[in-house]
Amino acid sequence: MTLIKKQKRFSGYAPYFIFGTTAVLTVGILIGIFAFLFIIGIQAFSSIGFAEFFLNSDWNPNSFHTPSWGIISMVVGTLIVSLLSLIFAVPFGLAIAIYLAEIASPKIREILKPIIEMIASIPSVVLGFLGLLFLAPLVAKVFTLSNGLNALTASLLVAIASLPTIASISEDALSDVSSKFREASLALGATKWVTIKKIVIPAASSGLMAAIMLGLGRIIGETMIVLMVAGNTRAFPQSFLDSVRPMTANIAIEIKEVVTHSLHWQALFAIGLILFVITFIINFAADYFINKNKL
Amino acid sequence: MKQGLLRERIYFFIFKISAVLGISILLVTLVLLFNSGHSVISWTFLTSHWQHQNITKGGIFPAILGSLYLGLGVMVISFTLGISTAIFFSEYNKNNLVKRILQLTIRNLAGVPSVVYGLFGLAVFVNFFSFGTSLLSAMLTLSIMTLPWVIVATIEAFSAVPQKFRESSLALGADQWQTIRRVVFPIAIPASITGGILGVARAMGETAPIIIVGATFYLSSLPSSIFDKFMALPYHIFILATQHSSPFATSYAAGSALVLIALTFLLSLGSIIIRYHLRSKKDW
Amino acid sequence: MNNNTIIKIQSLNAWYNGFHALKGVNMDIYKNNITALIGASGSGKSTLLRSLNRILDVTPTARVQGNIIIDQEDILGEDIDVIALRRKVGMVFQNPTPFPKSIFDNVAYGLQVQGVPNKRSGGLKGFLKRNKINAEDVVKSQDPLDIAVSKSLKEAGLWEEVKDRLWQSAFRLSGGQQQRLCIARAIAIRPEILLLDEPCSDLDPISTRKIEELLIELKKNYTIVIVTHNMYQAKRISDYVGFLHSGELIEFGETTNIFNHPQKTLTGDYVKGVFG
Repeated sequence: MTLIKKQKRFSGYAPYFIFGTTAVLTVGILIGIFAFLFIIGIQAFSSIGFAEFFLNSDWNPNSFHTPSWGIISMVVGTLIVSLLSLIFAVPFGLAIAIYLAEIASPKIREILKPIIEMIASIPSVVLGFLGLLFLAPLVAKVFTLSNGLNALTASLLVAIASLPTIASISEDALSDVSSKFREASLALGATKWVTIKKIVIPAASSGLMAAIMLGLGRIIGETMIVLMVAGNTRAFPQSFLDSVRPMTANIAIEIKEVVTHSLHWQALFAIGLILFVITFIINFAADYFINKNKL
Repeated sequence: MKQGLLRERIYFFIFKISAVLGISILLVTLVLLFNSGHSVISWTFLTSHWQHQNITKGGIFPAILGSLYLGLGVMVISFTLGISTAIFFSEYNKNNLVKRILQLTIRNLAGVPSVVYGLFGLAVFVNFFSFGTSLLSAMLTLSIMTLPWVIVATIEAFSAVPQKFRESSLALGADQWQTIRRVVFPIAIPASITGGILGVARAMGETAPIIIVGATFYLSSLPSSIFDKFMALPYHIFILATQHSSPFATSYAAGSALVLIALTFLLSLGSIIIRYHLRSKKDW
Repeated sequence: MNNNTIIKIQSLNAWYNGFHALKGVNMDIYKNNITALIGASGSGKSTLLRSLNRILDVTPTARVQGNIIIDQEDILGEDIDVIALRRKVGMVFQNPTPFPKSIFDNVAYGLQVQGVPNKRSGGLKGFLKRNKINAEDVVKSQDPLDIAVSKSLKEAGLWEEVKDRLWQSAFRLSGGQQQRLCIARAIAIRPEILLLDEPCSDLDPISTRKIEELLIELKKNYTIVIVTHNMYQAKRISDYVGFLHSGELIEFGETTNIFNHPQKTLTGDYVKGVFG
């Protein structure tokens, strides 16, 4: 029988420290993203002023006389594309989700769901390329425009890009609804559709909300598609057939041409900061909705 | 009653059509690409260097290689950092609140636009550390973008391992590291890696960050070190599609796109298939 | 009956986040006897058991206070090597919990963790090849791990049933066999005390019977403490019984006395099946 007094078990402490250090480092980096954006962006805000930044619709940093730094046109561009994309993607995505969760047989669902998810693997530059090649001319023809590079074309493609997110997460939310509810409704003589409409969808509503929010986050952050087919005009857009330049595209276009540490450079970081905050909030909201019903 | 059934039939038909339409998007994409680009695909196309003046004489090998290097680098960096971080917060951290806050934060970071990560990479790696517009800067930037995915996938994988295995191991006189190494890790790692590979596939398809951090369109030689400039498929496609003047640019863009999709699809599909396979194999 | 006290429990209290689960328990466990802890659900019997090998430490909300003296040491002390403690006090859990490894590797685990090399399945060679383990090889082998594994499996009465499939996954065994495997795994490291937390509650009557016979055999070499909600089981196999209710030790004594002449009414009610 041996005594059981503790000796320092170094073998136990080493992994703890190694993993711990890595973890702290990693978390530090991830927090650092916000920190960098904030530090650089704040400098832009202090030089430009909030009023000019947020209330001016003119973005002309390279103007010879008085450069203007208003981001409203870009924000509106982002808004138009986001709204249109949602209009296309949400009903489409929900319909697919309902089909997969409620109507399709388990075998079909097992095959189809991964295929829908694979759409998310199409690089957005490829979608943009196809849009440029096929969709833009089509839109131009239908609406008799000189070219099809506008908010509408971009929205259609961005909707496709966000479709897998919305469809997949909605499908998860619908499937999670306990079958007890469905059975009870059907036992009362309701048809399947009425059951879905009045029982399942309301029960899954917070999950569906989360799906839409996550889709929105994806839509707002989309860069390549809008870069390639949205037209990139800086003017304030007036209809969905106008050419737009959302915030993401603006950053990608101008960042290569600015002088490092110049005000213009800082201003682009400020836009990046805004994007970061917006998408972070949206994802936070999505998390809230996901956890609302899960105890 | 009949009216209700009719309505149901109509709705269900609409839903079914939607699903069919959804799938056809994937098919149409592939078909359109194939149509535009298949003529270009050849052994030379895949293995020779890019000829800027007359693009029909060259190939996209440097871009393929660049993308592969990126993918490899991202995998190594993000897996090492991400899995270690996840293990720490999942196994060593006793504070549940910390774990939840972390999971929340990291999951939300996964939703931040890639262009923002590009800005971060520009400020930190290209400028602050003076790595310049190099393979290294791009690898690091894309790795940081992929980190949240790897961490989330790994934490989920480790959380899915039933507590009873850990208890049994500890009850046999193993310490925590041995328990993780011998019991928990082998069970969790397949799910973690498949989740991470999806993230890597996404990173390889990203264009915006590497536009910012500096992929190039024409290089005369292959990168010999991570500090060199590099070419990559997504950027290649982007330039060919939007800025090139050659009449063949479109088909070459399509051809490059086919190669890129082949790469990302293979990774994503393989990962998804392995994941379904794993789920059905569980003995407990 | 051997009256050598091997565990002395003094004023043991336990809380789960404010819920008082054990209230001042005093009890002696005697060497080479089977002591059964009985009582209704939530009476604290599992909590008491889990304090004895400090596996309760793993539950973040649990707090323990008091003394548990094993071998003149208070195992609740601050400088106790918990790892060494658990090698001395083994545990088998309620649901059979074999690792997703081969039968051989399961039994070998406890020793491997102590540094005994596993020449059959350890390392890259074992990972790459599905080593078909030959039973005769193992029996004749001089390798300390092989000897320990075959010995434990024989002691657990499982050797004959598994000797020709030592390399196969432990999950291929039936529930009863898996539980006996877990017992073999636990005794492979030669603990002095074996704790079992309702080991038979998920098993069929025949497997249960086999394990009960096994425990009676094992008590010659080990001290056994078993938590059971089945009083007939307690009656069948135990030498001493502790009856817990709402965290208190109501009565403790020799099995025959507890069942035939209980001192407290509550005890009598429980063993008569009035509640529980």
